[in-house]
Amino acid sequence: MKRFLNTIIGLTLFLSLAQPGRAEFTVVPGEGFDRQFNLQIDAGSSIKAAIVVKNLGNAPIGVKLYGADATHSNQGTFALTTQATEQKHIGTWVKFDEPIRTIYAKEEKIIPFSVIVPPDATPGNYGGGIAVETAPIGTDGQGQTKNAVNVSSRIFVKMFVDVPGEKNFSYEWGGFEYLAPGDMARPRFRFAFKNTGNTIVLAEPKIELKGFPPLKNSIIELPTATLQQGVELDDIIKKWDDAPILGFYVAEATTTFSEFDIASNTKVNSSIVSKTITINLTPDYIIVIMLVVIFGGVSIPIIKIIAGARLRKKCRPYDVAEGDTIESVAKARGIAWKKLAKINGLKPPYGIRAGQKILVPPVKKQ
Amino acid sequence: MQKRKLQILTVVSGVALMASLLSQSPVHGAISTIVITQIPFISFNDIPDSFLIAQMSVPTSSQTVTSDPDGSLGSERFLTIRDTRNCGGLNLQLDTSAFSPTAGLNSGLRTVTSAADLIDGVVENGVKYLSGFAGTQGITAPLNVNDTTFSDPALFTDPPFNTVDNILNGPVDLLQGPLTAPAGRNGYIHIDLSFSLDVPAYTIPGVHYTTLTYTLADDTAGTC
Repeated sequence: MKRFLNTIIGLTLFLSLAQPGRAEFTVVPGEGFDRQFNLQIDAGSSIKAAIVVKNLGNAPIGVKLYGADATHSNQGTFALTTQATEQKHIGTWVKFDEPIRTIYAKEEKIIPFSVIVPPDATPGNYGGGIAVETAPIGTDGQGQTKNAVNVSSRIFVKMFVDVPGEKNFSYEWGGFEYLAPGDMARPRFRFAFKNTGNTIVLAEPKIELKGFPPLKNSIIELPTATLQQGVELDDIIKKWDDAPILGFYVAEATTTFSEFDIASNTKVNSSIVSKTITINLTPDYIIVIMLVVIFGGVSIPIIKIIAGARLRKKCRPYDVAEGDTIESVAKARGIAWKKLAKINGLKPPYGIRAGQKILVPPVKKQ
Repeated sequence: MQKRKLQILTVVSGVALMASLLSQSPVHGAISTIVITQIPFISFNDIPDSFLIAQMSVPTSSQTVTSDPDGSLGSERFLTIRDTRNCGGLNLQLDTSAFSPTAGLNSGLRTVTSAADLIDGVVENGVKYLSGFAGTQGITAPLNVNDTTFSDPALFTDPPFNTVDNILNGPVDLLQGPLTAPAGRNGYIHIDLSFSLDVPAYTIPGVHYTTLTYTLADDTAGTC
């Protein structure tokens, strides 16, 4: 009867509090656990544990308690599925006698639960958590939504369950790729990882960039990706925020793969794998400009040499007469005196003397 | 006889109480201190309110609307976490349920964060520390845009973000802090949030509902 009444009060509070999402509460594992639940449970067995919920506020709150499977965030970090998601392991193994509770002001409540691993559970390591969630802000007294976008908050404690049996720690590093800006304003890197075993794999990627021009921040670090059994993360994106506009770089991605050991709560069997790619940060229009500059720089002197040789071929010998100067000879043939001096390899002060043989172009027709 | 017994008991209790007080009194002028202890915890102190994005006619082409169309800085977008643990990391994520009745809207719902509001505090890596912190905390806000109004829809799609990073079709990291032993974390961590939504052409009329879920968890690597 008491349990029934408690559930009714909790349900009423859960649905009717004006702004329950603002409730200030905290959640920690019960006695015997530090920060998270690391459990070893045989298939077909169960254990009992507890979670502590403390209401830090001055008004009672209604909370919903449930177990949920792990998933991953957009960056590959550990995340917990929402209750609306289909649950496959921890989300179905965790059972609360009273999943909806009232926690009074300043009250600290120890709430027991069971983890029941079914007999047909396959050996391996599983990730998930115990979530304590408030009712969505924006709901009315009947639990109906009033606003288009409603808000709820939850705090969870991680849970890892080791179902004993044969373990297989294996993974694949599917790819490390550079994504040119294109429609995006910043270049990016993409990683792809896959857990091909039945343990929990931790992947800690890092990128080191070497090239020209030198970079202020040559190391790009990513958060640790947590790969649950059979999970493939093929779209872990990391922006290269301070990428220069121009440059040539070699990007070496190093990923430390480790097995998460539930019993010791540590990383074991770590190994480091590297992949290298080259990056050309030069946009297409810069390449075109560079080709024009290079082609222009090389071709113009060649054109000048060819033109000079052709002109020299047309030239005839001329005996310098008394009173001739380079200017007068050039003027008589309608060319610039400097050009004539160049044809004959004359150096400053460009003097010529009577009887000297020089090459002169034919007289230009008027 | 009964009265006599009561008198004796009162005298004995009084003597015992005096002895107890004397034994705990300061010695040689030492100042006694009262130590108030509290259970270390992380908790939401405030989360953004529910909201209506905008009311619009059925669009004939895709339209982008934001949750802050007037650019006003409202308290409804504040998210504050209280952390009194002095040690350990945390992770804050945001997830969304499928829109009802149009689940497809989720592919165009985006979020960004900022610490550039009017509240006093120290900003580090897109996170504002309101009080009680010392030194670098090492928490980062991957979706930080360092903006005060969020009124420009381009904030949600242009540099440095795009549809891959901040779209809410799965959990997104708002705060990352997988730390071991930061110095002196005992105070409030603060960010602001805003949202934008691409409404596809000819979306069916009616109110489309979704629920945003803010999830906070301890994320401590190793032991403290």
